[in-house]
Parts: sequence; C-alpha cells; structure tokens
Amino acid sequence: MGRIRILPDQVANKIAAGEVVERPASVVKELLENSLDAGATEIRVDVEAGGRRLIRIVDDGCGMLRDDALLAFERHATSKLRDVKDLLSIATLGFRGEALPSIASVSRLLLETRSAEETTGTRIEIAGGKMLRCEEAALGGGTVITVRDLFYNVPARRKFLRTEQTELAHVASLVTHYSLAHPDKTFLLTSAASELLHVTPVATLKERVYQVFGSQVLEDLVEIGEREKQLFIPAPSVPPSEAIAEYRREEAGEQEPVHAFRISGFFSRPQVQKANRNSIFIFVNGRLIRDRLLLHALSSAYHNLMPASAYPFVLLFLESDAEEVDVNVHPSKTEVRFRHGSFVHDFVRDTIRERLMESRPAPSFSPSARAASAEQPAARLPYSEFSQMLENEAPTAVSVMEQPEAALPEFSLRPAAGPVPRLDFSAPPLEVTPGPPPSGKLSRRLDAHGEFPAEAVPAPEVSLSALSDLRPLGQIHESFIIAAGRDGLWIIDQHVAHERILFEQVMKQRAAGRVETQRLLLPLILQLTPEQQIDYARIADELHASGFETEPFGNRTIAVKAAPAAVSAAELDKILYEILEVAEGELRNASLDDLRRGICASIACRAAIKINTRLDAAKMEWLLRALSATDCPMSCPHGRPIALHYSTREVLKAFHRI
Amino acid sequence: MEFTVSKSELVRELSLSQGVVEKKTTIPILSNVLLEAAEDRVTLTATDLELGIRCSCPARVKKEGSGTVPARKLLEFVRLLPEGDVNMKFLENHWASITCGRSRTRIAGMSRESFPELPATPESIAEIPVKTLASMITRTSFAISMEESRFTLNGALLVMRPEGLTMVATDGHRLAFVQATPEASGTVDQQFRALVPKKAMNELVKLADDAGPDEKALFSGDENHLFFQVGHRLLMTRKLTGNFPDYERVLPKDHALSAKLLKDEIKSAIERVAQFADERSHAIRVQFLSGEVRIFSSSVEMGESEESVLSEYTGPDLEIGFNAQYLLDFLRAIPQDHISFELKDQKSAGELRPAGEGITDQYRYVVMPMRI
Ligand SMILES: Nc1ncnc2c1ncn2[C@@H]1O[C@H](COP(=O)(O)OP(=O)(O)OP(=O)(O)O)[C@@H](O)[C@H]1O
Ligand SMILES: [Mg+2]
Repeated sequence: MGRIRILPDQVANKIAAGEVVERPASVVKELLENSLDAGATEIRVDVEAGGRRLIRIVDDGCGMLRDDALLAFERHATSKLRDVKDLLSIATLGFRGEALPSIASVSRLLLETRSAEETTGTRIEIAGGKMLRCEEAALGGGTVITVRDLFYNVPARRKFLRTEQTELAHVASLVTHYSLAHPDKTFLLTSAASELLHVTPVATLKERVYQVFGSQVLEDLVEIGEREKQLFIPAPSVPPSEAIAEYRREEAGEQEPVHAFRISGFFSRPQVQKANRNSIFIFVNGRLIRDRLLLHALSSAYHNLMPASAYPFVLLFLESDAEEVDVNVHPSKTEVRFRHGSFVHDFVRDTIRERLMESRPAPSFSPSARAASAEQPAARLPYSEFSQMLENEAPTAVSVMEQPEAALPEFSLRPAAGPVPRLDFSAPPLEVTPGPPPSGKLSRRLDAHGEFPAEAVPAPEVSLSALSDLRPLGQIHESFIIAAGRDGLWIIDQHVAHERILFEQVMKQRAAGRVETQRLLLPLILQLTPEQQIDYARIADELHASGFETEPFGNRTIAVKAAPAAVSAAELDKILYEILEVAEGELRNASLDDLRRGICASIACRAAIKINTRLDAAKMEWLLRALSATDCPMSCPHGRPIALHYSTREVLKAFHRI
Repeated sequence: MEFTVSKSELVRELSLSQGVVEKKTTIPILSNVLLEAAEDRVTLTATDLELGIRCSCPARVKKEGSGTVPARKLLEFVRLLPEGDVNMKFLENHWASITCGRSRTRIAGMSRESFPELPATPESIAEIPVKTLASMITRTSFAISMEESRFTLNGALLVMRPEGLTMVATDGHRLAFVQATPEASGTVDQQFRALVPKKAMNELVKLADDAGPDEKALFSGDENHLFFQVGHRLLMTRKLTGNFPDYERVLPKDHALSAKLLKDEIKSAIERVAQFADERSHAIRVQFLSGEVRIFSSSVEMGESEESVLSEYTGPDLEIGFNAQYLLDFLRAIPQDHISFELKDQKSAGELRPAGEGITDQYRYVVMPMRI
C-alpha cells in the first residue's frame, strides 16, 4: 500500500493556496524540504545558471514506492497529512502536496527514486505538467530530482528572474541556512561544478557555524544555549487559522495543556552591526521563516545596545509543540502564526537580552591578527530571500504587537544574581600558554576545512564582568582609559562608559518615578521652529516626567524652569534641541517606551564625562567599578562599544612568543 | 644678554608664571618664558594667549637683551640651586647658560622673535585693594559654570558702582554675590562692568597672596583685554564676551522664613549625610522644623543617612531638596561662625548668608532647590 493519499477537498480547501514556485530558490527550498522530510542524511544540490538551467537534488532518504511516485505529481497528494485534525500539529516541512505538481508544471522534471522496500526504482519524466515517460529503472536508494529549464513554458515568469548571480545567491543562502538547521547532515552545494558549500555531520550547532562561517564569525557570536519556558495560562490570543478555530470549537471544554517553548542558536555581540536584516535567520520547528513578531523581539533585545539602523547576526531556533504554531498561513510556508504571539515575543526578547547581559561579550582588537579560517563561499553571497522581502518595512512596535504595549511585562535588565564566587588564594596561577585544545568534546570528522584547528576554538569567553578587577593605568588623549586586567589589556572609552552608567541610573529613576530635578535661577527661554513646536506638544508630558519642567511661553517659545539634576545649565538648550530632533526623526513613530529611552539616553550623554577630560586614578577606578555593575557594560545607549579587550594571548602572539 | 639675580627672587617670580604657561605643547613657544634684561631689572613674561603675566625682579644687568627658555624646566632647575646669585647669559642659537656657584648649565631656548607680543597696558581707571579683590574671588569663583554656553559664562561679573565693588558668579543653578563696602572698594575714576574669566581670577588670587596687606591693584581695560597691575607684576587677560544674566532679578527681595545655624555644625552634618547622596546630583533633603534642621539622604545602592542640628527657626515645617555640594561650597568659603538660611517655599530660591557681628560687606548666596 502506498503512503501517499490525495487529500479530500474539505482538507485541501483549508490549505493556504497560492503560488508555490517564484524563482529557482523556491524550487530548491521545496525539494530540500522534501528530502529532509524523507529523512535524508546527505543532500547534494547542483545548480547551473543560477538554477534557471538546472537544479538537481540528490538525497539518501526513504525514496518513493512506484505507485507513490506517480501519485506525487497529483495536486494535494501527500503522505504527510490525512485529515483536518493533522493540520493542527504539522510536524513535517511539507503538508500541502502542492510542491511537486507545481514544479513539474513549469519545468522539465526528471524523478529517479527507489524505496528500500522495492528492488527496482522508478524513473518519471514530466514536461510542463505532461507525463512523458514512466519506467522501471535500476537505481540506488534515495531520490534524485532534476529540474531543467525552469519557466520554459511561462515566459512572463522568466522575465521576472534576476541575474544568474542573484538567483544563485538566493539558492546558496537557502541551502546554507538549512545546513545550519541540521548540523547532523551532510550538505553539498555546487554551481557549475564549483563547490559553494560542503559540510559534513558534526555534533553541535557551534561546529556547524564554524564550518559554514569560519572562526572569525564564530568569535563574534554568543551561543544562546538551550533555553526553555513553559506556557501555563494560555491567554486567548491570535485566532489561529480557520481550520484550527473550527476544530477547537468541536473540542471545546477540553483541558488546556501546558506548552513548552525552547530556543537555541547564536547571536552576535552588539558591535557586529549589519546594515540590513540579511543576517537574521529564524527557524521555527526546523522551518526557515520570516516573521515580524520575532524580528521585533530581536530588535528590542538589542535596544540601546546598537544603533536603531543596525542589525545583528542571529541564528535562532525556536521549538515548540506543533499545535502552538500554525504553519498553514502562507502558500510558500515562509510565515507562521503563533497561538501565543506575545508570549513567544517576550520569551525570545528576554532570553537574548539575558544572555547578552550574562555573557557581557567584550569586543577585542584587530580580528585580522587572529588565525582566521575562511568561511564557505556560499556564506559570502550577499542575498537572502527571506530577509530581503522585509528590508524596507521596519517592524514597529505598534504594527507587530497585537496587544497594547501596556500588556507587555516590564522586563528587568538585571541578570539573575548567581551565588558569589568564593575567592581562593590557593588556586593555581593563571596559565598563559594555551593548554591542549579541549578534546573529546567536539567530535570531528573530515570536512572542507580539515581538522577543527585548536585556534578556532575561541579562548574561554572574555566577559565584561572582568571590568571590576581592572587596574587603571592611565588615559590616552585624556579620553580612553587603559587598564590592566587578569587577562591582558583593556581600553575603555570614558565618555560612553559613563554614559552607560548614567543611562541605567536615569532609566531606573524614571521607572521608579524618582527623577531628581534641579530648578533654574532664571527660566531658560527656547525658540522653537514650527516642526519642533509640534514635536514638543507631542512629547511634553514625557519630558515633564523625565524632569524637564517646561511651559509654553508665547508663540513657539517655551520656558524651561527645571531640568534633570545631572544636566548642567550650560547644556540645557543643546539637550532639549537634541531630544526634539530625535523625536522628530527616528522616534517619530516610536512607542512611549522608546521615546522614554531616547530621552534618558540624551540625558545620560549630556551628563557624562566628556572626552578630553583628565581623570585621576580614583575617578577611573570608580568608573570601571560602576561600569561593571551595570546591566549592559558592552555598549552605550546609542550602540557604540565601550570596552576593547586585548588578551594576553593576543599580546603573546603579537610578540611571537606563542 | 647677561644678568645676575638672587636665586630666591627668580624662583618667586618664575613660580607666578607657571599657572599661565601653556600646559599642552601645541605651540612650543608658549611653554617658554620670555626673559628681558634692561637697566637694573629682569622682566619675565609668560602667556597662553588667553592670559598673560609679566613680573620682574632687580638684577645686575651686564648686557641688556632678551631670550626665551622653557618655563617649567627653568623653574625646576633654578629651584634646586643653592641660595645666592644666579648668573644667566644668552649664547648663540638661543642657548641660555646658567652659572651658580660651581654649577654650569646650558638650556636650549627659542628665538625671542617668535614669542607673542602682549598688548600695552592702558591708563588705569581704578585702584582696588588686592585683598578685597581676592576675598571677593574666593567667595564667588566656585559658583562659576564649568562650561561656557549661551546661558552661562566661564567667568564672573565685576562691577564698580557708587555702592561699592561688586562681584557676581553663577552657573544657572546658584549665584554668589559679594558687594564690598565703599571704603574697601578702593578709588575709581569711572564706573565699569567687566566679565573676568575664571582662570584670570585664580591667578589674581595668587598675586594677592604674594602681595602686601595694603597693596592695590591698578585696574584698566582696552577693547579686548583687562589688566591688573599689582606692584611690579602685571596680569592681563582677554575679556569674556557674552551677556551676564540679570542677577538683580535673581536676588530675592524678601524671605518669609529664616533659620539661624552654626556653620560648623551644619557643614559637618551635610558632609556626613551627603556620603549617601547620589554621586552626581548630590541631592539631599533639608527639613526645617521648629528649633531644628534635619538633613536626609538616601541611595538605593548604598544606604541612607540622617542628621539633625539645632537651629533658631520658628516658621512652619518645610522640606526642600538641595544639592549638598552647592551648600558646602558656601559653607567652606566663609570665615564666620554663624549663618542664616533664608527661604520661602519648596520651589523658590533659598539664600545663605554669613551672620553675626562684624560683617561689613554683603555676601549673598542664592541656591535653587531640587525636586527629589
Ligand atoms: N525526496 C523525496 N523522498 C521521498 N519522498 C518524497 C520526496 N519528495 C517528495 N516525496 C513524496 O512526495 C509527496 C509529495 O511531495 P510534495 O512536495 O508535492 O508535497 P508535500 O511535501 O507533501 O507537501 P508540500 O506541498 O507542502 O511540500 C510527499 O508527500 C512525499 O511523500
Ligand atoms: Mg514538499
């Protein structure tokens, strides 16, 4: 008995319908997902002319039975779904039974497959949806699908394809991302006989990241580790797709189960700043998706750690019970809907933020000085289909959150305080020469890079918590503090360091409603432009709550009577104009929360020690201590780095001592 | 050029130039001191282009002339010489040779031509006792704002009026006002108003410290500069430009309430309590109660502190926030033992004044409250 069934109409109609094949990369995506669903452990993708001339996928998956192979090209023929109920908990990447017929109708397709249960395989040839040939063939196990001349019969579509290079980049980005989601599988991508990506099975995601991107990228990344959170009280939130709604009505009254969400992956240190979202990869239950909600969660995790116009590198894997995610939203299966969107949003945001705080990653000097292992060619190709589509539409807090933001829990910036480490005088002295690479931990196989070199394993992560036991040595240019630490040398930008300290202090006071203000001897009279006047009216309440006591004073003029205590009177006009300018620009549509942070950031910046200021040793020590006590000592509220670290190892290397 | 001077006199004059020579070595000649020997004196000039100082001391001039040497190095070296006469002579290529006892030294100098020309001193318009000037400066300069902006000036206002010489300084949060009695103000030919930069005020105090008790400063000004001649020493400074705030508007006309306090008591109390105030805002709360004044501070991270001092106060209970540093600046600047703290309400300016017998001049210190 075959495995594939034709879905009954009543099920087929519930499936989000639409165009499946848009470009070569969508073909690769569908075929790759089929191979993964088929349990393949080795997947080879060959393309020619950016996939326009040829796409071939070879897998060692379960293959198809003869009858199934024929059925697979019927619409709504799938082995992955039976009835409406299954739509609620889709555990496979495919479920519609749409991909193969759609691809076959716009190309010349050759399917060669053999299931382990049969002794001979099947070869089927289809062109433009018409079956040309179907025969028995002597084949190895697994499936080979060859797609030639994509859109040969749809000239209109062909016209919309981009250059070969662009299409190839989309394909490469796609295969690369799926390879990251499956470190235990082999992926090989070639284009016209040149290898773009070749990775062999490894035990951990970290090793796969290393294989794909090389050691340099890896050193700029922080691993999330495995984080889990339970959802106990499911609030009725986003209505899932109709199918689910219907089903739930049937099943009404049933006890709500507890759902677990897990995330893992990597994210970049705040100083890695990308100009677009192309380096953000989100997988939900193994499916590469684009999702505004999660993008927003990521950008809020980096809020005030990175300029608003910059984006991190993120590789995020979110796993949950299949019922929690509705994948039947978009015909291309690249969007999902969460049943508890705001829970997921906050979980992702808080986890990343917590990890950012815990790891306090320190930027280091001259990455070029390190033995850098090269990334795979595919990782260098510039485009990503998934992020590109979102490029020009920055998610805003309002558009993303279905719920008013008041409902978002206020999250704490402070990492959970662990037990204080016991100081130990008898501990052995610090080793400066690197020990043998941690063996055993990483299972190695030969891959494109050969052995995982010892240098590629980043030194035990340097954390900015080390700031507290730094010894300031002096300043350079009366602007940067040079300090010696347990492991090497640090340079700290005194202005941004102080800015960070004050920012957190001001935010805390603001949150507690304990803003200290200083009244002025004479009110400061400021002239506003008509635009500034409008923004002033918009933000006047928040200004007041932040400590600026202002009053309208005639036509387009305001009188300032009191200001936050940290701001000197000499800076007052500058800071107010600056706040208005920011309110007019980047914070034009910002939420109240972002506006508040913006104002606090301006206060902190104006009140902070300037560069070109001589500091005595006591002041420097105070600054380092206060900095290490902050929640985010790695970057200033505007996203600039605060401290650079030059490890003993790097020093030794530079002096050719190791 | 060649001359001989007493070591101790040379050291004394050179020390006065140290506050003026340029500290950053962006323009090398400005870290040099100009030495000019003429008749029976040697004159030392230093400048950073904002401020200039010219001092002189008696010398036996063998050959008139001039030259420049690094000011700091010269002072450091001469200071170590034994007491007695020092002979100085400029050689070729701007080298200066110094001979003293059995010591023979050569210092590399720079050409005199590259040293900036200082403005000529105009006719003086006032003679002010230097001690008056210095005491006014020490009671106002701390209130000068650190930065210069459209609304604050990095200097103080000096006004000569029939009521007496007045000096006012403010940073927008507080204002210090001193008005000397007409007798202590010296003699004037005309009324004037000038903005004196903070740096010049500091140097003036140094000149005053080194001057006799009755010495007068001859004051004059040209379009861009102010000049203070104290004996054989001349300090010149660029004028500050800008509008000084209308201080008369700020000085309270009347106060409803007044608390009399013992300066040392309130000062030490604030010093202790302020240890627990915010590191940057120095905010403390001051409670005026019948018969006492209480001070509070608290910080989330460090803890809190409270102290009470006795006071003659009869008004209603009142709590006002202040920057402790601002109050301490005043308390540390006055010699008197008693003060009066005058107030109206939580939002209006508070005023501190020295109290007690024998106060002749007017010293008023206005501090705006904080909201904590
Ligand atoms: N590489 C493969 N190995 C084994 N079976 C395959 C492979 N590709 C497709 N199949 C079979 O063919 C069926 C149809 O594939 P198709 O991609 O059209 O639909 P689907 O994967 O079920 O759903 P979707 O349209 O969402 O991808 C699958 O259900 C599967 O049984
Ligand atoms: Mg499929």
